[in-house]
Amino acid sequence: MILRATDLGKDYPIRGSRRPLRALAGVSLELDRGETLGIVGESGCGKSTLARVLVGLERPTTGTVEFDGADLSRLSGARLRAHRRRIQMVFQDPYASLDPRQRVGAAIAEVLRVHRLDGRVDELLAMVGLAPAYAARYPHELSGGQRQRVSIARALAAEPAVLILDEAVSALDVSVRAEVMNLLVRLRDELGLGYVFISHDLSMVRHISTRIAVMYLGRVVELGPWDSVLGDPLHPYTDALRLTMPVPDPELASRQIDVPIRGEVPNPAAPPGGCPFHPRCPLAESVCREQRPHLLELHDGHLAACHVAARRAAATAA
Amino acid sequence: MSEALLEVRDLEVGLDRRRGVPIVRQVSFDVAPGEAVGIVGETGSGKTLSMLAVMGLLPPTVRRTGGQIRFEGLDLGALRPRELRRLRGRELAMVYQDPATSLNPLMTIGDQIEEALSAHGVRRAQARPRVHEALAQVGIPDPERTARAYPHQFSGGMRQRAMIATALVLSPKLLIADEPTTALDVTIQQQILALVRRLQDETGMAIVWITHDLGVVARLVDRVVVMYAGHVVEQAPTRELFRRPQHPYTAGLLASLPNPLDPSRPPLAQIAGTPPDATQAPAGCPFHDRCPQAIERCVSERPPLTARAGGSAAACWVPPGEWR
Repeated sequence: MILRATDLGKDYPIRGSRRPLRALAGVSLELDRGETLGIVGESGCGKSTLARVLVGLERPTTGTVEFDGADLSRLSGARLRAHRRRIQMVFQDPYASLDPRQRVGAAIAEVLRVHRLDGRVDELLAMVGLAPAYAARYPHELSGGQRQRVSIARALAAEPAVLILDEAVSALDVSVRAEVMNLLVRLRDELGLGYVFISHDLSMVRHISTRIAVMYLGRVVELGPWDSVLGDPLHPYTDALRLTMPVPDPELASRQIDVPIRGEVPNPAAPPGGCPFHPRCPLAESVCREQRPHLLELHDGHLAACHVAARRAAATAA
Repeated sequence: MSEALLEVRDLEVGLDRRRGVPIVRQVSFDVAPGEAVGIVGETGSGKTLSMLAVMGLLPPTVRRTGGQIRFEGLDLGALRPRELRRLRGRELAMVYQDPATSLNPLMTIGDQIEEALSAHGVRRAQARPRVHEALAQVGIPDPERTARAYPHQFSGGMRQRAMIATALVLSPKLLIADEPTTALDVTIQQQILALVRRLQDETGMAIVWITHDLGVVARLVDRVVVMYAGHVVEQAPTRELFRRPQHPYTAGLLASLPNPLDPSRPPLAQIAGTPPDATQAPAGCPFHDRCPQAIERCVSERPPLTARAGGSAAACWVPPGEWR
């Protein structure tokens, strides 16, 4: 276990309101070395807040983040920095995360210098498949895919154990996305990195993940091995998301939009009572409007927060 | 296809300030009445500019430098601006990716739809009921109340529904949609696709859906036009395109998508290199420098779009039977 989040919560105050916006509530996750935990969900589900809390850009309101067995909230100074360095983040837009006036080589060298590491720029470029000559280029002289490779090289310069990838391939053109995905898989397997791969695109999450967590309105509603979660989803929300993955068969694909899920994601500042998904859920019963379902292990390593799924699992077991 | 609703022939669009450096070249395709056509391409492929040229709404830095656009046989290039304006909205309408920038933030949703009606001579007394009808048609609840709301009071999905209501209020024969679901959440995207398909069934309008997303294409359209670096490289019925792609670029795009039906999750197929800047498209076939099938001829000679089996057409010197 390299990274463990326990009961994470994150509140943001809302001006003029006594009730805060609860961006994360009771999120517990674990990540092993060499493993990819996929996080999927729509806007307002808390996936980007989770990324920022895991990497230390935000302090959680409740709960803890442990890295390599150490509770990060109890560390400070050099020890905290040394641990934080091992969790790096790659953002969606490499344009925004690279300084336009800084050459690629200088951007990577800066990371090495700040952390007093003895990595080499040309080796880091080679790891992400870029020739040494790219060190002299500016970000605007690169294509979108090359810029994302540079962002990854910069993250790798810090010698991380964990990469938090927040929509890291979402802005790339289709023909470029495949090569960055393949690069990520290769680096993970060669370096034994742990990934938290966050995306709204379930087909990319499916492609790379060992396990998948589905989030809705700040909570994990389903969690398990990728093939169980997508092959045999327990939560009706996961079932709906599954139909958003494009299949390369037009007849099957056109049936995917026959029965779209109704409604929209509610305002996270005023989430519905009971199960947060109940207003959109095709299976909702009266209990769903009244009680919030707990995230329970219903099958081996496969958890869901759904009253109906829990009852069905109990009936099968009996 | 002699009964085309829209006929685009050898369309060329060029940069105005650089003596018409072409960025869209020899683009030809038809749209039949009631048909749904997808125009697929990556950034810079010219897919949006081609359709803005059809609408007569090209940005000031570019202009149409050649070709013909006919709508119901009428040459749009020969129309006066006033005549073209009358046609837009009534006969052809367009919705954009970002409804936040195409809706007026200072006007209520209802007033904006009403404005579209009055611009085309519908009287105020008759307009309001049609506004409410249009909002109800796109699945916006409580139309009488929501018509009085401002765009910022709407969610992204509701704004896109309102955009579609505005576009459809005059019952156009052709709706051009430029990635209108790209910025939306995936479940809302499904809803909008289902909505558009229902409206198409109900009204019999034709659709041109501009997208980079082959998933959208597979779900919604009858026929696909694939663009690359300002050129049409393939045209095919949707089913043919997915089963038997005729151009190596199309084949590469399809192979680069993860297949959710494949439990083995093989590495994704990559297309070498990066998409070119259309103003600097290489000589010969625009795809030759990235193409795994390229032969010597591809470097020097541009392949024309030629008919293939199954109703497809492709611009490639190397037929799939000879692919390595």
